[in-house]
Amino acid sequence: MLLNAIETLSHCESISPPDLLVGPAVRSMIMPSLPLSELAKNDPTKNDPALSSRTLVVADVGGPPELANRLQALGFCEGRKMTIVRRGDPAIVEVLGTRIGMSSAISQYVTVRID
Amino acid sequence: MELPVLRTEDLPGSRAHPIVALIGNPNAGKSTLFNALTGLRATTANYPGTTVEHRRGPLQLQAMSTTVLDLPGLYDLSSTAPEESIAKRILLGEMPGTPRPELIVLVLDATHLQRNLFLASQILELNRPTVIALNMADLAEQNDIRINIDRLSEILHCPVVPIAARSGRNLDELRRSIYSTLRGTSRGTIPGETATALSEPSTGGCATACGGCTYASRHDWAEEISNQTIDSLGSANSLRRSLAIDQIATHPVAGLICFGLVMLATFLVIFWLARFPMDLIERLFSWAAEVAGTFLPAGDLRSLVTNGLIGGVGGLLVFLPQICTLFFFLSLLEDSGYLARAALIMDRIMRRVGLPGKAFVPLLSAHACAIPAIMSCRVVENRRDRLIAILVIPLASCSARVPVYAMLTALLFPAQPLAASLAFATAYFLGIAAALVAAWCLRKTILPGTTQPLLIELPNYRWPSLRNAVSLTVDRAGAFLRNAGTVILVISLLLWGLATYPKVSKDSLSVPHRTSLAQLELSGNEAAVNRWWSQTQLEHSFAGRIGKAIQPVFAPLGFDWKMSVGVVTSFAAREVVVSTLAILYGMGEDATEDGAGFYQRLAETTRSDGTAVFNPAACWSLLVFYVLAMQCLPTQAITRRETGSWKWAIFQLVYMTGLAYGASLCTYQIAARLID
Repeated sequence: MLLNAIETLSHCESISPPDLLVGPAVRSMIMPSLPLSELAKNDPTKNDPALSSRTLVVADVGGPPELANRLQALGFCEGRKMTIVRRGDPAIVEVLGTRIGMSSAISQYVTVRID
Repeated sequence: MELPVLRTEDLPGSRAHPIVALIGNPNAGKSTLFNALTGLRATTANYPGTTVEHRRGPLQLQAMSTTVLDLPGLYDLSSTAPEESIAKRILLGEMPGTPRPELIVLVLDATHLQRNLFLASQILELNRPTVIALNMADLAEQNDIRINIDRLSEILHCPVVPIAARSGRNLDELRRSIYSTLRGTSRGTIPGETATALSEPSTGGCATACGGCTYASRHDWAEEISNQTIDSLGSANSLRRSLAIDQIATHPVAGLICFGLVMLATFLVIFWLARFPMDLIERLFSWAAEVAGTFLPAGDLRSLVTNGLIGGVGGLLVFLPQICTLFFFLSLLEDSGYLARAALIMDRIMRRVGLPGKAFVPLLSAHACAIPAIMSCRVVENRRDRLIAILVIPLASCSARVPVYAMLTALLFPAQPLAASLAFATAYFLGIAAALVAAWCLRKTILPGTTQPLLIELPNYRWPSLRNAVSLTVDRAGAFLRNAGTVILVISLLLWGLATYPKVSKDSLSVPHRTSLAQLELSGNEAAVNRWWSQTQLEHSFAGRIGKAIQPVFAPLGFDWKMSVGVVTSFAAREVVVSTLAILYGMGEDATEDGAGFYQRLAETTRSDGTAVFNPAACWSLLVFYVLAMQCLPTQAITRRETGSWKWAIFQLVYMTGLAYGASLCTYQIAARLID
């Protein structure tokens, strides 16, 4: 399942191939982070059913300060767990037991890694 | 964009008459609790210098009278957004005219305790006497979520009362708790202790990871407290049900179909339901005018009372059924959690024209009436987005256009019902298309910027509260009457004056007029004489003269002077054009009641050169004009209220009239050439 996930991630240009050559333990430690908007995209080539139910961890929240604060208050705070409930734009994600509808213009500022 | 300064009565606020502030997350049931505590006696006001609204209502606690303030629902007290900063200033007593609340009632959703505790961490830090209302305790029970109330109260150092605001469960205990905390007999928050809890989160992990991020430590604190107080996480039945519904409701395709069906059903019910009170109001007022007429001597006073005053009040009240039904059903949809989904699925489509998904339901509601539609634009948070939505909403074909469309399509296609209904549908389509194009143009010109991207909580579905719906309906209807009432009455009286004066007498008539009157009188047809008088009166009135004077302006649109008078008299209410034309073409106002016969007689009217007045090109042109022109004063009054200035209302009038003129001009010029 993890390998599946990594393959999914490797579709993204931001990940360099050497990252994928290390062992599983190291892999999870240096698991690359990527914008939530990438994962939430409704793209069939990346639509891995194993991934959609995976728990993600918020790695970083950026964007304009007001938006970042709003996202953090909603629970998109470093270290918090979240899942993608429905892909697309806007996507539906779940954090702190609540589902939140979010357009890609916002989810691009939330960086996540796979738990 | 300046904000309006609206006066609010200063609250007394003292130990003898304390203020209790309600605060909580959106969807925590704060408004339901407010309605349950204050009944339907709440009033709505704007905070001085802002468009942010709040509601306040009386709450009697034994011998103590208090005022409850319903603060805006929020996630984060430290946010700099207008609603949040106002809530914070009120809680700290920094808001002019609003004394510092003696007590905070913090509403927490028992089914989402951890999420709600984030706000709790900020509220408790204020070190004000606080009572926690743990709402939706019944729902938590049903879902087998068990919260240790005593433990929660002990950790947070304030009374915690599990309640169910919707069913009214345990509200007496909440009142008692508020009362005893106000009296100082119960322990309030103890300064310092919560702060300590926050600065030293026992789960040290994240604090190191994010290096003192206050948001992270607050979330950790919330997690810690919820771990310590929730004995059972429950079975999440509501969540499962909501997820199952959302499989369809938020699906990109099925969701749209589902939304279409929900809206269709809602609007059919609104149209069907609003018809009865609307008929009743119309009948009641024409009866009142008749009765008043028998008591008053014939003359100006009778005309003022029956046509000006009673007609004006009737014209104001006739909007109420649609405003009320629309808000009632919108409130039910919102309360059930469905409107959040509607905003989600419409966002992708609406964004293309520069409007957020949340503006779709108001735009759709405008097909019933623009007034409630503009008032419901408050769901759009971003001010620019909201302004664009308000400006384009009156372009959607409201129900007041129906009589005008009915007349013109019948004139265009007298014996072809199918073609007539197609023309009818074209008018609706033109309206919505114009609204979307106008939104796009406004976004590209005077209100530039990007549409606020969607970020919306999708609460679990639940049964809506009737009390909330009634409360919102009463509130909006009151707001409409207060804000639009005076303006509409004044303008109705003004238009009555324009259509009544100067009076014509037999002596002031011209020779050809006298001859035609003499012929009519000889025939002994009294009704015809009366119709002739009302026709001549309107023709010679100020409105008639203005219409005649501006006719050259409307001539390129194919309007004769009678239609131009119709444009003048229907300035405040577009449907008036039908009765004006009936009077001016000498058929009398009552002729409009005989639909088909009236249209046929209109179609037969000819100019002096024998050509038809209502030729196809002129009808199309008039139809396009009434699709696009503002011609509704109550809407203007509401635009002023919602945008805070007459500036935008006037802009709306100017751009819509300009658009209507230009489009009608093109229509007439093209149609006249094509048809010839």
